[in-house]
Amino acid sequence: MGKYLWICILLISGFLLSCGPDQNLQQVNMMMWQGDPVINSYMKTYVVPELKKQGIDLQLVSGQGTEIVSTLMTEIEAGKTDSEIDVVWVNGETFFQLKQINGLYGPIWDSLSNIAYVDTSSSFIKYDFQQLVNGYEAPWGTIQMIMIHDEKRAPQPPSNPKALKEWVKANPGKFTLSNDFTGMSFLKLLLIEFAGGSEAIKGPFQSDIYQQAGDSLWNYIREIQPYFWRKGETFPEGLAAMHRLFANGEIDLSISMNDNGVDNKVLEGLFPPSAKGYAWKSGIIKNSHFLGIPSRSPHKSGALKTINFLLSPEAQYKKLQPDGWGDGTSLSLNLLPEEWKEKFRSTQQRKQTPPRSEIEQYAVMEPAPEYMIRLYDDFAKKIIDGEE
Amino acid sequence: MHRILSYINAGFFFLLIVLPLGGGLIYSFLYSIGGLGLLNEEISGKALLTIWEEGTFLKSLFYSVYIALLSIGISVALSLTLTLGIKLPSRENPYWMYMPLALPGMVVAFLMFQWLSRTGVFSRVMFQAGIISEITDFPVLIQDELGLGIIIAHVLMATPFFWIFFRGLYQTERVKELGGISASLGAQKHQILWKVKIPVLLQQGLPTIILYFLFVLGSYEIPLLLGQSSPQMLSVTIIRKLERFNLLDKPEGYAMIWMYALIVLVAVYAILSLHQKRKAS
Repeated sequence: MGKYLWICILLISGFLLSCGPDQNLQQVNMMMWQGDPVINSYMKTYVVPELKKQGIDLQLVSGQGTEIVSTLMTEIEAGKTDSEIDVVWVNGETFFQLKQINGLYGPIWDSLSNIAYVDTSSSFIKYDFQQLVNGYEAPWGTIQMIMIHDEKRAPQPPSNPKALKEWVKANPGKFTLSNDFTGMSFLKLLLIEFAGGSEAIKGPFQSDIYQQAGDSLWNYIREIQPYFWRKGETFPEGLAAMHRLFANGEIDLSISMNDNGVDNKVLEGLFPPSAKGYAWKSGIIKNSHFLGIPSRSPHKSGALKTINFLLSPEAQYKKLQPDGWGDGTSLSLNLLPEEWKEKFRSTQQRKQTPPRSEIEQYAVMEPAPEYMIRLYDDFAKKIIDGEE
Repeated sequence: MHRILSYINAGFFFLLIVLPLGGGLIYSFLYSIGGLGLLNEEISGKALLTIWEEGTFLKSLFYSVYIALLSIGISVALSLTLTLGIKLPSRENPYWMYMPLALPGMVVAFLMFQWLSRTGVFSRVMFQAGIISEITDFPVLIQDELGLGIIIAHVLMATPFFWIFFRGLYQTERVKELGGISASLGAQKHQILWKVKIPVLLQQGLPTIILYFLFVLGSYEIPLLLGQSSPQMLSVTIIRKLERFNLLDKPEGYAMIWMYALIVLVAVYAILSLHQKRKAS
């Protein structure tokens, strides 16, 4: 009995010791959204082992948007000098929030050798939600919003507001908006159109423009709301719920902020092969997603090394593959060495959505973050609660 | 010695329960009035005013009370019917009675979604059987206006619990014997049921019923998955306020936390005091 007990204790101790951090590696904690298996697979099976070779023990922590902001906010409020997080994956709204609390370390661009391959003069890199990035975050990838339809159920999908209105009325119950970032981004797209195009809404938030375009937007939505899924009385809480409705056949159109999203979902088996991505012809939102370092990160050198690797041509090329994550690269092909240029150009094309070069022509920039705040509030009041 | 032990017990209770919870409430209060928080610049009652003016808090509170009352009401009625109507072979509770209690709220919510949604199992079976001509003809039971999905999920979780609970009370309170005495004094069957058995079980079980009511009132996962966009139960509304894109909404979320806690504490104190008085009299 005693012998078995000792064996058990030794085995457990060995296991626990093997779980501890490797003293020869620098630990870097990265907080990121872990809701997509293809992204998780890219990070766990490629990035983590590659960084280990460079002396970095990358630990992935689940968290996104408000979770990142709340964690950093609480640390600052509590007077904690060393943050638990060293790298964060952020989009424009999180960047806006982190700027409000001075939560980011930087500028970091000068410390990243691979930033040489990024076209930093591009407005999609220079600005995030119309805010000057100023080197406080490094571009990890680019995405474009795409519309999704099932070519069997909806062979002629709408691609502008007028066509959408007609389509929704002709197909009651087959369209909805998710009450989250993606749904609000689609409203933002409509708002840009009602404001007179992306040039009209460029720059800092302007209340009068929002008021005028917003009135047209809400009138438009109210007119078609009775023809939405469940008569527009309720809305799916998130993108996953909306995709589930699309996969179940309850709705015939969906939206994704990842232009490779349809290929991913078809490969996962969630969407049928008849699901196709297409561009909203009157403009699609394009943005970059970034990596930042919290101002109180205790491992800034490791964090910089991690971000630099994620920006490297090899890591970006791997990320671009459509049978994997399929995320758009933040690197400029013109700035890459010849051998990489060729590799990037000969990347296998995706099957469910037109190539990026084809939909790129419709790309518009994100408006200022305050538009999103107002859209969230007004959607809740005017559409969900039905206030005048 | 006895007094020292009770002081130690009170000390532990204070350290482990009162301090963290009370501290949290004080933190919420200070955050809501601008006394704490990175983005709060001055002390003001703006957040409190906003949530009263918006009406979101009251709407969510009334909706939560409605859901909790109906869920507990149906569960208690069902479990009383089972306790008094079904005679199990043994006084011991059979193993299968405990099984539903092992399921977490999130799992029950997912199961409800799979069974009761318009593309769920029931809908498909009815469609295949030709009872409905379109899958979308199935009644809306999930994310519906009346919160039926939430209520059904809570009833499924609460009924086995109350059944086991009332079966225990039935024995400890000697309800069967009380019924026998009433019968020997000439009471009819329905009088024994309505004037002896049910009142005894309800009166003795009231504190537990209230505790379960509070559990449903503050539930999160089930209404998050099965509830509609508006109105939402209070926990869902609070979390949404705290996690909003607009960081300036955070004080409103904290205001809702302490106001909810205050209302519940006052209501529970009032109900339990009344219950104690009635028992004493």
